[in-house]
Amino acid sequence: MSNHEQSFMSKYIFSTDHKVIGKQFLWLGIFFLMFGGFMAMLIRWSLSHNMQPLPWWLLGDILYQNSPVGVGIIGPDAYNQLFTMHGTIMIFWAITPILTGAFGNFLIPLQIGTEDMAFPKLNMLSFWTMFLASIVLLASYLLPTGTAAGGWTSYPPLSTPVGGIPGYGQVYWTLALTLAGTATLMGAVNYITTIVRFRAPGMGYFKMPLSIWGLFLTSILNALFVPIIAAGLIVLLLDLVAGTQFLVAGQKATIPGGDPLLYQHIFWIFGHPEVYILILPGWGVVSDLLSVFSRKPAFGYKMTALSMCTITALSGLVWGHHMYTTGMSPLLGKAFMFLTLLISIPSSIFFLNWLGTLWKGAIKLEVPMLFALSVMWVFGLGGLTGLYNATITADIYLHDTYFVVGHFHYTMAASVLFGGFAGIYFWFPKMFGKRMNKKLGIIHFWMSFIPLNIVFFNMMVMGYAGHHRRIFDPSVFEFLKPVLQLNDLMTTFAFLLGIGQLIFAINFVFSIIKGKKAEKNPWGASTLEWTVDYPIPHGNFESIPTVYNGPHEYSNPKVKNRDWISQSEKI
Amino acid sequence: METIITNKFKRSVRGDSFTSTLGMIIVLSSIAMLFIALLSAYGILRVRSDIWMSGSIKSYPLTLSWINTVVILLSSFTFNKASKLFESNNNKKSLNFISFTIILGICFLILQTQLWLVLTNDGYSITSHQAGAVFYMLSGLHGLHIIIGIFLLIWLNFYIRKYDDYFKQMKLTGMFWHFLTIIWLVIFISVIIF
Repeated sequence: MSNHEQSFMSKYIFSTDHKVIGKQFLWLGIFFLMFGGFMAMLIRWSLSHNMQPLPWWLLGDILYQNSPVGVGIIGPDAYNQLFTMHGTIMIFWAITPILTGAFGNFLIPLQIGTEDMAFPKLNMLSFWTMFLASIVLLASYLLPTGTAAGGWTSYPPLSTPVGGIPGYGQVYWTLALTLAGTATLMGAVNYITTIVRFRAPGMGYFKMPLSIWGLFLTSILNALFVPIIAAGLIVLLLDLVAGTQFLVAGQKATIPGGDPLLYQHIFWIFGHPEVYILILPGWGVVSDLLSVFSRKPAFGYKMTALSMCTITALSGLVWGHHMYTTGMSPLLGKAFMFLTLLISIPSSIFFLNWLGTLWKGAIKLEVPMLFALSVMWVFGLGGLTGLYNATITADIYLHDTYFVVGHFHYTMAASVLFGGFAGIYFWFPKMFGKRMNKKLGIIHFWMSFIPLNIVFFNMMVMGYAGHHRRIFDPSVFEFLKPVLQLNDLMTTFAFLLGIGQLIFAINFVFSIIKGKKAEKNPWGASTLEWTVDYPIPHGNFESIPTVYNGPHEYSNPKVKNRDWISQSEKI
Repeated sequence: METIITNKFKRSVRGDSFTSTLGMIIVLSSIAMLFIALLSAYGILRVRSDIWMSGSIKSYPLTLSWINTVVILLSSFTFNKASKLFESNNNKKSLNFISFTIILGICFLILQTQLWLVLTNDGYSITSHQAGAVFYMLSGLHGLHIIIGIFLLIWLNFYIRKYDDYFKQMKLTGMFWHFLTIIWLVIFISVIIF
């Protein structure tokens, strides 16, 4: 792969260069992050100002003009569509493209020291399949009955035509998700093969940065468990369009023997590994960044990597904890509870390793570090509340309440989002050759961290008070009257959170255009991507580097003049 | 690209056979997981039901399915023969055997359609009961993969005519094709015979 001349199309649109594909995924992810975030604002508005017209700053003059309940008002059907698409888009179109798509593509070849992915054309195909999936998903909004409304889990009977929600929105949702899953699989094939085969000479598995470990394990989970949801989607699609009744039971069924619980099992066999698919790259990024900004090698590097492997293995065995209330046998329930609680051991190991990395470090509070530290807080809280959800006795009460919503927003949304922001701020100089504005970054951090905690923590409070996760109008319930004011508080802070993300978007775009030019290694990091100059040529390295050191060589007493040494430098 | 050798690691060469094989192994394990999920769903539905074949047909037309199974096994055999002949540098004969494999693959699809037609004519449809739904879903999905496999074989045929070095392409296509034979055997035994 030489640094040859390329036309505009092959350089920026149909590029096989992993760096360009990574940026394409980043733009796609940020677009959908804003899209899904805006839907979250609408959901919050509807919960606290139920059946009131949207104000102009929530686009009330444009949206819901033909709403059956009044101009500019979110009705119950529209509300169902909102939370369905908010979940789907945030998980499959925002987090996955940013964490796995963008970071995976951009970082893997650079950090392990190779020219490109193992299969560059497959990589390009992966992005364009994802793009097609996005079009199918957005097209569902043009249907007269609107888009899917069965929740992001799409449990039957809500999602099946027999007794479910009318319209073709669910069909579009199913097709879009199948395409997105295919794109993810192509990425996984590439990532695993590249990491196994193309590490630079000397780069053993235990010399890889922890970000690569996270992405590697994520890809393994993707390759094995995304096909499971494909099976669920095939069954669902046949029920929707071919008239089979795999997932229909009870009086509505004309064929005996169908089972809605079958879908729940298939969904969660995929769904629980999916939450680790989302968070593992985030954990990896945070583990690396804590080390960079503490100017210390990562504490217990091997144990962190191994505990992430253990979690990966355990994640496939715990899906039943999503289904305690489905009437499963108590013995099975206890087995699932035991296995789920077992995950807290490896989680605690690497959490303690994070603290060990910080211990007596020369901590530099740069913007990426602020976000990395905040991941420790939000993931700590999310992980601890997970114990309550994993315990059958507590979960039977908490199931399907806002407590669960708060829990998974802390773990899946907040940790992954902050991990993603940390990564974007950190690798921005290498991606675009510019520095992001630090002041705006710090404002963005505080406008994210404080409102986010107020919103998500109060979700758990409301859930404990009994607020169901999917009710349209909470004010009709007598038992919720004492906590209803919290809804207004959460909505206010959710809007602040939204404004904070606008600051990020402005900072991101303006830094690309007018940002300060970045030097080669602005953070003094030792991984291989910082040894190449921006703009990085198509073949990445002039000659493939040889690796002598671990990924976190900071403050080595043998090195004079500076406190870091690159992985490819001999001491 | 030349191989760089250090004291510790031999670096892989881009586009070498093992790299592509590893990629294919991951793809195949994904497809295997898909079929495992669907087959376990079938198992659960079947264990739960009182009478499985509740429609007009009490068992599948076994003669036709057996012929079909023999055809796909034969196609795997011919492909194996083709790669053996390639190893002993008998390229022309090798090409003939790849063509045989393509023909057998198409025969399999035709026979499969015949099987579907026989069943639907007897009122055994995808919507009449769970057994039908499972049968059509699994055999249909397998058929779709067979179509992809046939396209791969046709591509391989052209590739061999055009280029000299096709060891990797042959190996990968072979892996995919043999894998589909195995999947069919599992469907045949668990859904049709059992």
